[in-house]
Amino acid sequence: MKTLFLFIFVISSLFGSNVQKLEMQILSSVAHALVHKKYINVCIDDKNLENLKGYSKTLKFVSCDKADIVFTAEDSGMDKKCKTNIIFSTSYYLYSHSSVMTGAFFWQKGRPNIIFRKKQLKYLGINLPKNFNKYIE
Amino acid sequence: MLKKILVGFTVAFLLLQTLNAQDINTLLNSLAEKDDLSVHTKKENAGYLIIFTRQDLDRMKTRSLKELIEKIPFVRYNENSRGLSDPYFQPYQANNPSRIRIYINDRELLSPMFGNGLQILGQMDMAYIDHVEVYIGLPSYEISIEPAATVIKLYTKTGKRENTSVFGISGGSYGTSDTYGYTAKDMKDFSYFIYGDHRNLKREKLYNQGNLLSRDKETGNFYAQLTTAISRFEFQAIKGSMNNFLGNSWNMTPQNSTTDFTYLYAGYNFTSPDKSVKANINYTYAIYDYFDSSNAPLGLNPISVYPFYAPFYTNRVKMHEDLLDTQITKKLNFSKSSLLLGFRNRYKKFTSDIHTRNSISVPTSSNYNYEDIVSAYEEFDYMLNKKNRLIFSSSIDKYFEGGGINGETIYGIRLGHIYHNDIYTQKSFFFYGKFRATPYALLVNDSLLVNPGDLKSEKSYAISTKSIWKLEDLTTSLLFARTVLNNHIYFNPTSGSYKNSTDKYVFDSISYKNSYALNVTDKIEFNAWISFEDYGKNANDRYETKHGGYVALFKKLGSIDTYNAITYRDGYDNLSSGWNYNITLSYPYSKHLSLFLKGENLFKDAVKANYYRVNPLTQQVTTLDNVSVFDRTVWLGMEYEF
Repeated sequence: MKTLFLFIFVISSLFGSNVQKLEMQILSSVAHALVHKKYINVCIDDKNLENLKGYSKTLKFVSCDKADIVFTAEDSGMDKKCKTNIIFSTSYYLYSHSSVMTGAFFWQKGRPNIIFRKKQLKYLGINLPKNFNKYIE
Repeated sequence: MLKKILVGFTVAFLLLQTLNAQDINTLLNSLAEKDDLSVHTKKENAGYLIIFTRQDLDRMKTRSLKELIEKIPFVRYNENSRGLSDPYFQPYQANNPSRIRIYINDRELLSPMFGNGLQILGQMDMAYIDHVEVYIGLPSYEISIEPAATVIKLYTKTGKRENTSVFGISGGSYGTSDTYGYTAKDMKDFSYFIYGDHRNLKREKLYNQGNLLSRDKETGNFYAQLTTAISRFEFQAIKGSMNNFLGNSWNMTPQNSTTDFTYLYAGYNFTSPDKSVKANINYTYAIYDYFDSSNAPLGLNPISVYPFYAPFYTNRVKMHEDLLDTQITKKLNFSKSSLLLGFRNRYKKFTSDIHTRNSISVPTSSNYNYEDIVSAYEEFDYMLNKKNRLIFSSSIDKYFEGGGINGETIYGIRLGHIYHNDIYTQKSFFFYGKFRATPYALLVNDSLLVNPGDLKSEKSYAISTKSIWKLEDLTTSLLFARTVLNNHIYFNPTSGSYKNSTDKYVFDSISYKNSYALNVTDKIEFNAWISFEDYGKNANDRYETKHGGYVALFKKLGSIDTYNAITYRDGYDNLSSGWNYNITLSYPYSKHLSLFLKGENLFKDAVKANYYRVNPLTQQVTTLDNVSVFDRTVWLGMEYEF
């Protein structure tokens, strides 16, 4: 019986995929591409993504000073209290106006898009998995 | 054993989920589909909805709105005797906006004299449009306060979702060319979208008695939008020059027949932070300059000596229109229900600037020059329980007409029930309302020396239900509708006026649609519909059974994106059946440059139109049959993203 419930749970979780879950999966993939740890401390500073926090098991949501990576749409995301240099923008405007952004997740030409900044990756000494190569610019 | 199988399944699914999660490209494709802009704009409870998403339009490389019209159930694309898009065209009958209404964002495109915006937009470029929502079956007043059988809402691209600059160029058969470009950005506190296009549309050339019948059109379009959290400012300017195809020549021999037009629009849209209050004000100014000449008469001028008429061979009508449309809505939310209250005013003014026949000024025989419609409506949405909701809407429209024409107050009601669970939805609606005669029909009747009497509004009621089954990859729907129309307004060529028909029109319609997602990017769609129409005319020809449908396949082959579709229509009075096969191949040459090849009506067997003209002096009938409204066209184009 327990197995049947597990089966139903898995099926429904597959069928119940929604926008928030997809956004979280994308941020999770980005975080794991940039930070090579099983569990990653993440700070999210974007009110549009606040409601994503319940959707990941491998990302732990913390304040900026404890984060391995910061996802931000605001200038405050670059607070000096942040120890990490891995700052990933969730706003195209911020990405294009700040050279310290490692990359960005935003909508472009009617589609969601991610970009990694080559210069910043080199500066931080990060090698991305091969399947992310086409997103480096 | 069962336990092992279930565990095996579970592990396989978990593994699949993990693999999917690792494929960033798949995740981005899924998000593009599930968070399409239409998800935020569509109103599922407003009626029966068909959506052409951004992904669909991009993959189809849609060149104009007419391509989408032919995929709408119960509609057969057609063009009128001036070569303009008019699905319900019948010889001598004027365009009636109550059949199809067109909106761009929250603005209706409407010309009091020329009908719905489809005549302007039908064959123009639409690279500034993000997605299209089609509401069929007399949708909610929230969608369109003036009722219509089909409402097409075009939503523009937005700065927030574009963040790029694009230039595109393409060429097609007969010498057609398109150029367009836009720039759009999401800034810190606002976003903007600025777009421009130029289309030189060359259509297949037709001849009658050695005279060229041209449907060529040249248009330029500029659109700009500035959006903040609560406001949206819009501006649009369209300038065009079109050949009038048959014009009004009695034997279809136009010699120099063109229409120049200018369309200017400015609008402001407000949405409160909690989205409970919405308001918009839209102003449109349009100029139309129609010129027609022929070696055959275009019409008759009344004169004071026997035979009391004289034919004229040239005709020029230049007029301008002002439309001011304001609307405010307030939504009140309660624990189990919501109440939407709306007020709207549409002021339509039309002024004749020049009217000459044989270069001689024609005195105006009517003082009718404006229509003002004041409307109020409410929509009460009550949740009976988690699965059932009831909707009750009502509207009142007060028509004020200029020139001493009688106004009218008309009422409408709409009742709805929606049942919804995880995989099944049932929507049912009842509509009762009236369609007021268009200002054009009122003007024609008012211009006659003999008053033909008041035109009654068309009276309609419709009852419909749609079942929708949604599984993960498969969506199936079945729609039944019965629509009854009384007092049908038609043009009587003998009297030269608009009249009410005494016949009752009954339409029984069924539509079945399937959409199956083959994977994240690929899908196949199938639609078949049939409409039994009782026109209440003579016993011999009172029934018509029309049917149609389409099959469309969106498929990625390596890096090439393909779209294949075949559309079918049959059963139209004296018109042969039509099969329209389209194919589009898109290839991303590099990250910035993409190429496409598109074929329209490749079998040259799409729907055709028949035209006729009657010489009222000799009763001689001139016909032009089997005119393809979709030219066989091949497009080759590129798009560069900066």
